[in-house]
Amino acid sequence: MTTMMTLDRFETAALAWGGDLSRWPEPLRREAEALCTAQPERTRDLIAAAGRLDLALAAAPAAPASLALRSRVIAAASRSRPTGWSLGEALRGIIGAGVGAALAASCIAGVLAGVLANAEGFSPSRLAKAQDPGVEAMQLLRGSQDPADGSWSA
Amino acid sequence: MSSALAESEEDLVLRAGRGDADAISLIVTRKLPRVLNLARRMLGDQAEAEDVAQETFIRAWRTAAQWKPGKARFDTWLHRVALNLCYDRLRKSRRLTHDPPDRPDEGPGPDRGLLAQDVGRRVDQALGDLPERQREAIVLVHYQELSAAEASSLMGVSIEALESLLARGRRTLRSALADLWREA
Repeated sequence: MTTMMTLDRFETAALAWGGDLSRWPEPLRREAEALCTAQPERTRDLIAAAGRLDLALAAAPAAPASLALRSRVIAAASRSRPTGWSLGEALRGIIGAGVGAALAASCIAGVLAGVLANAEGFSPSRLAKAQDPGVEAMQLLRGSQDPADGSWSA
Repeated sequence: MSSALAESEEDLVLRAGRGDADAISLIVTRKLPRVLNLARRMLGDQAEAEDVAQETFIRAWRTAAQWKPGKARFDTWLHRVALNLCYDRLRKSRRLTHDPPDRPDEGPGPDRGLLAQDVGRRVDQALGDLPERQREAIVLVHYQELSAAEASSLMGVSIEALESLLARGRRTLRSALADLWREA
């Protein structure tokens, strides 16, 4: 046998949680519903008073999220590099897909791309226009090697 | 895009964390209005709220890959990030208040109508005058429609303490806005 909620308790709860009983936390809501059944008139007045404040609060305008802001946020987000999006994450994805061979290839490609990006005279369009991009890439690599000590000029 | 729409929020967040442009765009579309409204109501300033919203999403992407789905809903977690940014700004601008400021009673005047935008402004003003913790409680529960458990967890208080903040805040609002329904 549970104790019935008092009207004072109901009033405080209605003030806090508002006039919509479905928004009240459990087990408060169940207790409140029981009191509403037992004392419909008294509780109706209290719910109505809380509901009037709910309506007034609803009149406060929502902030418009403009398309310009949306574009700005997406652009800013795209520019920021996720710290958790690490090489490890990328490798897990590759291994998870069962493409073991791609691992070595992507590592080589990554090293190649990094070196090429720093190689003098490199541009993606130069590789794209080349008859044999592989040969062109090797020529660029050779060209970027320091003849004096064999180290990469990058 | 249709498959992305059906995708769970958790999967979307993880994809966004891997830099997937479609996932980022979809999450911003879904969540920006909520984050913006939260910041707008906490700060009372549209431009500042937009800055906070942008920074919230930048922080979200930076850590999205580390986000643990089981720990908290992404929406709740976004709220936490946005609230922290709001409090940073409130602290910097020294707008933190712990007691209600003295404000002359702006009761009904002979020339004051009850246009919807007037009501909205009055509510905005009254909300802005509340101590931050009371305002935060009302914004989270009433406007953001978080459950009592989510809101209390975000605020780091018990549900009873949340109820107390809500009751005090709403009592002040009811008193500040009482003329609205006296005239109705």
